[in-house]
Formats: sequence, C-alpha cells, structure tokens
Amino acid sequence: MKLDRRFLLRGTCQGALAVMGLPFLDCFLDNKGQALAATGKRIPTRFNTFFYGLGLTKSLWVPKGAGRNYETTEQLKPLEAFKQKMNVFSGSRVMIDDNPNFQHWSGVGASATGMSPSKNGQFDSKTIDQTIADVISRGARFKSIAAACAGDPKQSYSSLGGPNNLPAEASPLSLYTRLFGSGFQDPSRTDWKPNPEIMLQQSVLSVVAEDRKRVTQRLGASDQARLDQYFTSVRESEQQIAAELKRPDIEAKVEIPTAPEEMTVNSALPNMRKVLPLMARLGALALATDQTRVFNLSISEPGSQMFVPGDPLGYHQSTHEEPLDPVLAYQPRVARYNVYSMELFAAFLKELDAIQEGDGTLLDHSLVYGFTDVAFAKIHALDGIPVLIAGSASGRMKTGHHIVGEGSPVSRVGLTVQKAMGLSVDSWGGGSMETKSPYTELMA
Amino acid sequence: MILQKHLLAFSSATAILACLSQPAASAPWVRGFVVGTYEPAFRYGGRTGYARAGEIEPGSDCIHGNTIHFSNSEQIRRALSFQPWRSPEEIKIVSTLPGLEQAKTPDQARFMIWDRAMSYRGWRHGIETYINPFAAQDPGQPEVVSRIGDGFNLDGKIGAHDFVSPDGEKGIDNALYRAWGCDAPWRGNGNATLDMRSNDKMQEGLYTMVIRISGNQDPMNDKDATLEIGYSPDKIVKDARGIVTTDFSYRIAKTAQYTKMKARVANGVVETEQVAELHAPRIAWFYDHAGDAEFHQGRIRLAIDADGNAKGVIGGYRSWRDIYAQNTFAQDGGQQGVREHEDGVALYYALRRNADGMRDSKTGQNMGISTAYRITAAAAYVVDASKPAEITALAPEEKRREAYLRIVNNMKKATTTRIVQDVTPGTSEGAYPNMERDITGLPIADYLLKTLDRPHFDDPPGPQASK
Repeated sequence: MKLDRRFLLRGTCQGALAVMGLPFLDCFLDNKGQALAATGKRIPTRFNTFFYGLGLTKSLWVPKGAGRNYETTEQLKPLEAFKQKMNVFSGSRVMIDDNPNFQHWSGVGASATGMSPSKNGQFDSKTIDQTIADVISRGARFKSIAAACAGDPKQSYSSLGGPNNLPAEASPLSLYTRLFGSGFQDPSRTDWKPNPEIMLQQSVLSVVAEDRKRVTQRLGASDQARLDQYFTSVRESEQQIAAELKRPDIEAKVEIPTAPEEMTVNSALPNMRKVLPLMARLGALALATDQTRVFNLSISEPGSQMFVPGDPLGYHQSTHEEPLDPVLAYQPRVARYNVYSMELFAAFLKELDAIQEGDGTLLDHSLVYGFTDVAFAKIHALDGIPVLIAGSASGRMKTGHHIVGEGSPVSRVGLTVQKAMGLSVDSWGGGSMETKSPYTELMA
Repeated sequence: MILQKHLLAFSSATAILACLSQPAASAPWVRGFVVGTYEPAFRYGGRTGYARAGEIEPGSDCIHGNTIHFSNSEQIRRALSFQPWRSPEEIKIVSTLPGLEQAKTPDQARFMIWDRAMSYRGWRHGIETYINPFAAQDPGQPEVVSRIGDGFNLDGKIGAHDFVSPDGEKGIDNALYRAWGCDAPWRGNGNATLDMRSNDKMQEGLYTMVIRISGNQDPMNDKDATLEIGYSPDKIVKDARGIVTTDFSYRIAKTAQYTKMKARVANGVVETEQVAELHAPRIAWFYDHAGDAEFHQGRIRLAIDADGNAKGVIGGYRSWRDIYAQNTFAQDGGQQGVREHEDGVALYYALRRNADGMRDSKTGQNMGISTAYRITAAAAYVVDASKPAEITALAPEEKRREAYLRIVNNMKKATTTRIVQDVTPGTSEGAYPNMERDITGLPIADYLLKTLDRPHFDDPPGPQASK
C-alpha cells in the first residue's frame, strides 16, 4: 500500500460508503520538509483572499509603531495569535483619478486590481487572485474557488475583468458539493480511468475550437475582445479537463468530511459565526488536497449588511447613522462590528493554520490577502484603506511587520504579494496607482 | 504630471517669488491658494473641548443640541401621523416594522421602508414629498438662537435678527445659519458628517477650488488688489499624512465658476468688494450635484497667516431653492432623512421662512437667503491655463447628473407654481425600486407594497443605484 497525500481511508457505515482522507503527513514529504516525497515537487504555495466590508476604525486598528515590534491594537486583538504570521499595512491610499468615487466599490476595485474602477460593480481588469491563479493553478482541479459566508453568490471579488465576475459558492453545502461532490474522481483507485463525460466535453470543445478563427474574423474589435475573453475561459476549461483526464502525478489523498447539512446562511452574525468556520475548513481542505490553489472567502458585500439580531441599525446603517462619540472620537457601535469582522478573519486563519504540512502549516505555505472597501466608512473615505496579509508564502515573505504606507498607493501591497507568490512582475496597477515599488523590506 | 505643472509654473512664479522674498511697496505680487476645507459657517457656543461621554455640549446657539430626525420608531410614527389619510394600522406597521428580523438584511429593509414612507408625506396619497415639500406639513426645525455668527453685513443694515461677528461687527447676514445651523450633519467641531464627507470628496478629487490674489503694492497692505476665485481642473495634492500640500501648482479655469473681484489688503487680511454675482464651486460630495454656487452681493474675506496659508469666509445671498436642492437631492430626500437624520421638509420651510434677499419685484418674495461658508486654503501656485480648461467631465456619471438636474427642475417648478410634480426617472428618489428589492422575505412585504406610495415613471426607470 502506497501512502501519499491523496490516499483515502474507506469503509462502510450503515451500508453507505464512507471515505476519509488523511491530513498532510510528514511521510508525504522528503527529508527537506519542503518537497513532496512521492514526486519531488515542492509543496505548492497557495493564495487566498479575505474580503470584509466597511473597513476598520483608524484610531483603533492602526498600530502606533512601525516595523516588527509594533503594539497590537484593540481591533487587531482577535488576530493576535497570528501576529507573527501577518503583516499589517496602514496609510495606503486609493487614487481615483478621473473616475467617480463609487461608494463602497472604488476601494474594492483598487485593492483587487491596482486601479480605480471606471464602472460601478465591475473590475477594470483581472483581479489579483486570478492573475496569481494563472501562474500557480496549473494542474489543480479548480483554477480558483470563491465562497461567500453571507449567502450571496454575488459577494465574490474574483473576476476576469469587466462584467465577468466569478460567482461564489453561497453555502457550506454548495461549496462541499463543488469541491467533493459530483465530478470528483478518486485517483487512488487502481481501476482509475478517464471519466467518459469529461472525454465527451473535451471532444465538444475541440469542435468549437476549430471554428474559433473563422468566427473571430467576422467580428468587430469589441466583440473580438469579448470572444477572446470567452475563449480564454474555454482554454482554461480545456486545461482543467486535461488535468482531469490525466491521472494526477500526485495520487489523491484528499480528506473528505461528511457533507454539511443545509443551514441558514445570511448576514446575521450568529449564523456567520457558524458558517464561516465550515466554509473556511472546506476551503482549507481543498487547498491542502490540491483541489485548488486559490481560495477566496468573503463575509459581506461592500457596505456590509452584517447585523446582530436585535440591533435596529446593523453594520452599514450604523456607519452612517451613529454619531462620532465626542469623547472617544469614533463610532462605538461601528467599532464593535469592525472587531466582529476581524474575529471572522481570525477564524479563517485558524483553519488554515490548523493543517500541518511538513515543517509548517497550510497558512505558512499560503498568502492571505485581506482587503476591504473603505477606510472610514461614515464618509466613504479611501485614504488609509486597511490591508492585512497573513502567511509567509512558504517563507518568501517576511512576517510580523507593520508597514506604514505614508500615502502610497494600495497597489504597492498587491505588487508585493505577487512577487512573494513568485510571479515575474515588475509593475502592477493602473493610472496614478501604477507602481513598480513593492515593499522590498518584506521580501525574504 | 505634477512635476510638469511645477515646471510650467516655475518660470512665471520665479519673478513673483523674487518679489515676495523682498516685499517692497509698489511691486507686483501674487499669492495663490488651493481650498482644503469648505463648509457652512455653522456652530458657535459650545465650549472648546468640552464633552460628556457620548454627548456634545448643546452650546448656546442650539440649546437643545443637534436636531435629529427619523432616528427611531417614535419619530417615524410622529412623522406619519401628520398625514390624515394614513390608517392607524399603517402608521403602526410602518413605524414598528413587525417581523423585520426575517428580512435578509433587516437594517437595509428598515432603511428603505422608512425612506419610502418619509418620501410620501403630502396632503393626499401619491405626492412625493421632496419634490413637492410645500404639500407636506412643516415638521418644524429649531433655529439658532445665538447672536454670534460668521459672515458679512450684506445689506448694509443692522437688523434685529442679524448676527454679531466674533470680532464684534454688527449686522451680519447669515440667515442660512439661523435656519439650518442646528442640523446635525453640518454642525460640529470639524466632525460633522457632511462637512467631513464633502471635504474628503473635494480633497479626493471631486472638484478643486483655487484663489489668486495679486496687487502692485505690499502683499500685506494693498488698497488696489485683485482676487480671483474659480475651479481648477487639477486635483488637490495631499502629503503622506493626507493633508493638503502647500506650494503645488494649479491652473485656474475661467468657467462659469470663475469670478474676479477688487480687494483691499490690510495687515494681511484680504477683503473683497461686494459684487453682484460671485461664482464659485459649490459644496458637493457627489459628482452629479457638483457645480456652480451663485452668490449674489457676494464677498470674500481671507486672513493670510505667516506660513502663507489662509482661512476665511465666502458669503452672499444664494437661491434658497438651490440650497434646498443641493442638500436634499445629493442622495435622495428619504435617504438624507433616514440616514443623515435631517428632514428636507423642515429645511424647505426653514429656508423659506428665513429667506432675506434677492427679492422678486413681481411677487415680493425673497428668492435668496444670506449665507456664509468657511474656507481654509493652502498656499499654492495658481496659474493661468495655457489653453481653456473646463470642469472635468466624468462620463459614467453624466446620466446621474442629468437625472439630478431633472429632479431639481421639477422641484423648482413645483415650489414656484404649487402644482404637484412627479418624480423623474434616473434617481433613487422615493427609494424606488430599491425598497421592493430589499423587503424580500419580510412578512409585511405584501402589505407595504399595497399600502405605500411609490414613484411611477412614464418611461422605464434608469439607473437607480442608491448612493
């Protein structure tokens, strides 16, 4: 019996097949602790995003000191356990240039693409997760996976650009089904062979591909661009199918939990506290078992509608309606919601950090890009928009730092992230936010 | 880009700088400024730095503190009870919203329902309130009771209701402060919501206002100076701390928002002449309602400090309907009400009641209200544009601007003719169709859809995104 990371434990329970994978064991690794024993390949570095709406309260989240030995602030306290595995970026700025300030959207677009959006609700280019997925996701079953803890598939900040946002899985069950339901093939079976349905899909796409050139020649420039984007998706599907038709180099040893039950998924904080750990766990398992290498998790729309039952205002309304306390100089109710967001972020990181891989954890072999829509929600301010990064990208990013941006474009963080993820990129962003200056002090 | 502008300005500024470095009588001089904050000259009375937990000292100008409208069920119930056509059941359901927690996003549902309900407070069904405020009962707006206020003596008289300036000048005309100075979003010590918001958006690039003062004598004392004020197509430059940076170059555009005035400088304080029409950018926090503020009998006063920065007041009579529109339709009337806690109907009556200028000779009505706005400005190089510069147009927002202008026109027509006007498409006025979207799942959804009024468009609605 060969033990590797795709090995599955099997048995029957009340007549039904039960399957359970193994956690990532050291025996899967070679003696260097960084490469897979079975194949000699390094543990892949994964990329994650975490989106939360409505920012944080400046006076409560920005650490006073810069560099490594900064003091944890009140709103970062839920993340204290991960302080040495994180970087905190304050003082980042979003320049909107000649675009409107789309309330609650300009900050999202700028953080995710490095340029201010020209249309509300759309990204002007591919989002950072997709740019990274283009490079790191080859060979994985899914190029990327998005999940929305508040139950709305539109709460995905992953896009191929323009109107092509990639919808999120909106419940733990749908996420489970996508990852481990129909279409999942157990590559450790001795009688493994390509799925006939997948083969049929491949042949259909091949026929379509033959007509591409002829059709494209008849179209105008804008339609050609749109069709090209479409065929890019087709090509990615082909690559995914090709990956599924080929027995993986690394035999699947996925850990498959039992399917979660149907549950209420909405913006109520108690429900989110139940849903997020489940979704985060499924995402972490998908990463750990190489189903995908890019996982995007959101807890809200921009302008978060999170609410605590019984609170007549909820989060977003509180940002507008709650006055600034003249003594505290901030909005106390809003500040509590800020902390709830950070607690949910910590719950996500906890799941990533709970999976051991060689000499570290899944979080150590990941980067998590935590971003939001505004700096000061009451007035939709963009100056000082918070960015939080967790994980070291398998040691390629130094952690434990507070970086003071001093008005730098938020795109500097994104460029730093891409470099840490191993992308060959010299600049990122557009307009006034185009930058060639990563935070080199973080590059290991 | 900025560097290029700097270089462009350098040659013309060099000579000026040379003059400024050795101030001497009878020498040409120029000083420029970019406006960093711009807000109504509201609030006096509260002791500086005094506050109890969670409460600002009311201050002697607004003895009951800020006015807060539509912040809870009781205030909504009271507002609904002014309409005799509403049944007790409707008033109770709309104000208490039973089963609200069953909505997917309860706070959004509550906001939209109250926005819709507050948008229909006319004397009969179907009259949209904010376009037709005259058709709703005056809910009342406490006025400023203090005698101290910033501004100018615009009419040259000392009236019983005039303010006294902090410097002791009598006859100050700032009826806008009297009418609206207790309104929470504009009242505070630099922390009023809409002051912060509009200044943030201005500094972010929504619009740029510049001032240039020039003369031929001493910059600190010049009896024959000139002050120009206008819009700049260049965005405000901020430093790493987010503070407006000094000494950058800005072009001044000679558009409809440009005015050139004679001025006198005495001990560093610049006082302009009073001009029939003073044009300048108006306070805005969205593109659609940015534009020209027309000050009639307008004046400007600026005090220049040792660092070359300035602070002062711009004032004059403004159309009170323009002020009403600028405040009410920045978002939509109901949203300003439920979200910012100000009541557009109260504003309408307060402005009309306190209107004190721009008398219409035919009707005898005052079409304007005296105003004063505080500004702070950073030293800058204000240069003429090498080619005519216009206000930067944002194509994605033009439809919204057109919709804003349509709704303002309808409001003006309604309030001057007293003939009820409809909601125009393309805005979120009346929370339509946003309320319909956000009450899904609510047990009272069907009741609300049958009971509450809503806008009815002749054409399919345009973009309705709530701002």
